[in-house]
Amino acid sequence: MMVMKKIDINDLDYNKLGLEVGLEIHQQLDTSKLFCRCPSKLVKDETIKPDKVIKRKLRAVTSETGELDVTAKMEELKSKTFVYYFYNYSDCLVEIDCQPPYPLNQEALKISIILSKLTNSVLLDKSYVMRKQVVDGSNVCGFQRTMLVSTNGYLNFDFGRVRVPYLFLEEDAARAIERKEDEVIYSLDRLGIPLIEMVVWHDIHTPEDAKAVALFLGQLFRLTGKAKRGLGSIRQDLNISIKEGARAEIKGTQDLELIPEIVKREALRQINLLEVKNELISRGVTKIILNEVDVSNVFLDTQSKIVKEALVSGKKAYAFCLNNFKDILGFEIQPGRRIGTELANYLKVYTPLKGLFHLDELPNYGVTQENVLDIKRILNIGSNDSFILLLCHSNIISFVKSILEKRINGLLDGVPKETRVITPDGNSEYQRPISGRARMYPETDLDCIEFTQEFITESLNDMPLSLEERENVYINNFKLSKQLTKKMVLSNYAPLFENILKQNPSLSPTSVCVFLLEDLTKLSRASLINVDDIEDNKFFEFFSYNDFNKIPKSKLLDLFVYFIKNNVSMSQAVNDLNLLTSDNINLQEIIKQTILENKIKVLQQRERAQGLIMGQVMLKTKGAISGNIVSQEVIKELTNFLKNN
Amino acid sequence: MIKLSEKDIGNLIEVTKKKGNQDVVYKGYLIEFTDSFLKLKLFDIGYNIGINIDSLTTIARLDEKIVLGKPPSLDIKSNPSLPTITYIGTGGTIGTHVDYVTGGVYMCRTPQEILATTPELANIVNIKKIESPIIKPSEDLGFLDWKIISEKVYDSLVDDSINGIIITHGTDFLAYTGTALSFMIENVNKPVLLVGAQRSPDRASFDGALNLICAAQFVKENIPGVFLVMHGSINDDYCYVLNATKAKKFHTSRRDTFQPVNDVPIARVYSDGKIEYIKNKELLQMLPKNKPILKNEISDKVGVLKVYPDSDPSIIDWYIEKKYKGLIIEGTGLGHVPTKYDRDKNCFLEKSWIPFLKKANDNGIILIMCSQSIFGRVNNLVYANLRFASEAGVEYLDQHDMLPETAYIKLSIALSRFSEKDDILNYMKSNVSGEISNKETPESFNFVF
Repeated sequence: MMVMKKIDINDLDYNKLGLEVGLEIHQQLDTSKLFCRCPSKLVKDETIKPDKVIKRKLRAVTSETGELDVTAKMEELKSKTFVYYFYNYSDCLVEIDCQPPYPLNQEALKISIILSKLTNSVLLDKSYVMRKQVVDGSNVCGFQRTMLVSTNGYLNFDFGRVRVPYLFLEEDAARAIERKEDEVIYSLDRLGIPLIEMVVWHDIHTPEDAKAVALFLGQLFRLTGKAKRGLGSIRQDLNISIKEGARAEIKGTQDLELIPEIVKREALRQINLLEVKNELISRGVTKIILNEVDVSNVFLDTQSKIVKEALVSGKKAYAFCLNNFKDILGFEIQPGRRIGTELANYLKVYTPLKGLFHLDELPNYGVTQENVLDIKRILNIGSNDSFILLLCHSNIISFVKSILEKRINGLLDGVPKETRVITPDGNSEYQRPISGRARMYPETDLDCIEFTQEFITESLNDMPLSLEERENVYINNFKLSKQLTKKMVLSNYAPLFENILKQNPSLSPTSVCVFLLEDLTKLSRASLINVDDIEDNKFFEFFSYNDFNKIPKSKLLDLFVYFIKNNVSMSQAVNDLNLLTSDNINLQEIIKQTILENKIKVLQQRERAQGLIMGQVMLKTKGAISGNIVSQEVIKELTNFLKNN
Repeated sequence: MIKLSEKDIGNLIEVTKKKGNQDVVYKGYLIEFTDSFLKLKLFDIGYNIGINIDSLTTIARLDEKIVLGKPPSLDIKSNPSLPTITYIGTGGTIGTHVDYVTGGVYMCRTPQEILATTPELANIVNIKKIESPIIKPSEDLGFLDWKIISEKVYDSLVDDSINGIIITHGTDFLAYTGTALSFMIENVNKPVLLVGAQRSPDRASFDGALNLICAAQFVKENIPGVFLVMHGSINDDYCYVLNATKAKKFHTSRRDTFQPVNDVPIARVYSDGKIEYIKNKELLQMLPKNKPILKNEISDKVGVLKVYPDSDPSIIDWYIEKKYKGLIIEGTGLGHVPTKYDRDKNCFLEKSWIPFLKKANDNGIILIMCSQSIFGRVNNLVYANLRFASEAGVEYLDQHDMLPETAYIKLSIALSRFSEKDDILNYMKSNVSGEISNKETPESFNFVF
């Protein structure tokens, strides 16, 4: 028997492997929800009690081909209850499937048109909102509403052209808060938030390029100024395959830094699955048929807690013989992940079982060498064979067996096409088969969407500046430093920054830039305010305040925090904080008084005494008056004084 | 370039269109077309798109046609150990089928297909007879349909092998049909359960399944009468069994749209068969002394008129001219109509309804007052204006609390059965099928809200 070789993850030749990586990027938009007028705001504090808790069931439904959808049926087998946390603040009857959708959010549609333009995509003439069946409870109605906006796009990178075949506008799903065996709790706040899904074709061939593309697209979304900020507002799915492998769609990447590692580990998994396939074929394994054998009697006096508990609860111990499977189940396909893990993964998804045992990892978990020998004897296990041991109720054993059999036979085909979900270490686990077009049918409650020339022109009025244009404006018109420019052009705040300056040309661009990029971060780190929650109009109100330039710089942050936290008008906030009470008359008095107190020095130093007086006045006014104003007034008063003395 | 024809519908085609400086190719199944437009279901991703055809658009036909399956249907096996039912399908959302290509919703499910949406039924009841006399959305149903349905129901009521009847039906007129059956069949001796849905069966969130399951669970209780079985809450947890003559559709789209008016539900039914009675079970179980009688004649000469501010009462002249025999007046509050009585001149001013009502009464039209307030009883005495209407001939039926919808059907039936006004009014005043309550409790207002 051949020994399978172990491959070093850092020693992969991607060119030779024929690595292909594609991306699906989902970006939430900062508009109201897509099919109702609720705000797209998540409930920040998980401890807030929902206004209503709603419990629902979902059923397996027929797809257009008339057969029950497999995934749907599987999910139903679990007979789950879906619990939804409803917040009056962010949800309405549309989210809970008690009202037809409102017409499509036009602002979100405009942003999707802008992004189509930015990706050189071709807009459709007309599009129809579709229902994509989703039965994991994350969509209360059992489907996600989605529409195609444009096709045939592309972006050019150093390493070559990457195609953007599709750009979709769709609604986000509900947010899972807790998953229990028989119920899943979702918060409805996220359901219905507009999402742009951009499909990037698998024209990427190295792990690092995948990261670079994801990074660039994130920036592209941010250019519009309508990309939502904050954790979870952008999500990447990766499509990864190697030559002779198959497309694995890996969901749930939020951290761009992890992308190269995910790509490497998936390539490794596919290499190893192909290795296993070849090995099994070379051992002459063809179709695998499983026969369960009740081996509960082996464990009559077992000390294994896990086995004991299962048997007491009425489950039985079943063993399956796998001929010629020696060392296969324990074979590592990703760091810390074995073929056995992969099989257990399927059982967890489709059945109530938590996992399985296999020969390569036994004795362990309280299962003794003696138990292993007994099972081997009962199953008549040869030296090249292996076995799987399951704890399972007898009424579902044949179903469990069919799931296991399907995946084990899949080993003979190499890499299955599937949707996987990322694990924290960069590995991934099976989630469901890749969904095909069978899960799609038209939304009957909405009209068709027409991309008229008028609407396109109107949408492109809000076309953001490109990165180059932006850089140019910031350096030449705004006179920002190179360093600030570099940070601001890529910031989510760039459009806001531009609009603030457009409305208030008297403001110093550098001050506004520093405020948005640095001061806000400080406030956020100090947990003084939640920056993500602040609406743009609050910033406009703040910076458009009439006497903005009179407010001492040292007090700006306090003022902003007070203004946001108390939700008052700017004049109210300025008033409450006593920021402009020391008006110029009082200031003049203080300066005059200070000059008199230092009369001798002033007469000695003449104009040079400005610094001395300035320092003392600043101390007296405790920074409540801006240094500019103090300085102007000191010069005025000092000149007056010297003229007369 | 090919010329499209009807035969191409469903065919895979390839459309090439010049967009800017790009030639964009769309490959998909043809759904519909005109000379200047076509709709495709994209081959790769299943999305539907529309393409405006211009002079530079070319179309090529590919050799593949979309194959659409039929909805599955339930193969019904007999299980005589379970309560035996007749199932009657009439259409409605619960019986719709989505055309997965066009997105059109059609009322085309056969009863077997409707039952397939809820295969659990086979474990709760033994479906012996399946009828599908009508397939219509409920807003299209009327007297002729009720006659047909009532005959089907009657046949099963007198068939000793049947324990109950389940009817699936659209929700808009669900309570109307239930009410019609309540009056058209006397001595109903078995549960006759009407079930609808607010969400169509193509959705995983189809609400009709729970309604069907709960109706099936309720059959074994052997409570005679015509009832609605629909979601009791916004959750998928239980259904209410409601007296058909006292139920009203209150919400355009919520699944718990039906609520009792001046009444409480009969019971709460859970999908596992648990039943919580709200009304007295022993009283409900009492069977009629006599055999069921079918009397399904119904007059189509009853109108419903709603008063509103500044309404023009001369509309009543039209009803007189058209020889109507009865009018349900949806008055305000206790049963008012715009009265506009000038005390000084002792006369009714312009747009007063009183002279017109009197004229209608003089012409032999039976006038029945109901209230727009929905909840509560009407009254002919509390205010002077009520007495004017009453004196003009409007009947308040001993201060009844019937829904206008119920009064409409009851009067239509009364007019077909009796010719004497006294007989008609006696029938209207009698409580035939729980439509008039003998007392109201705090719970009979907004029981569920």
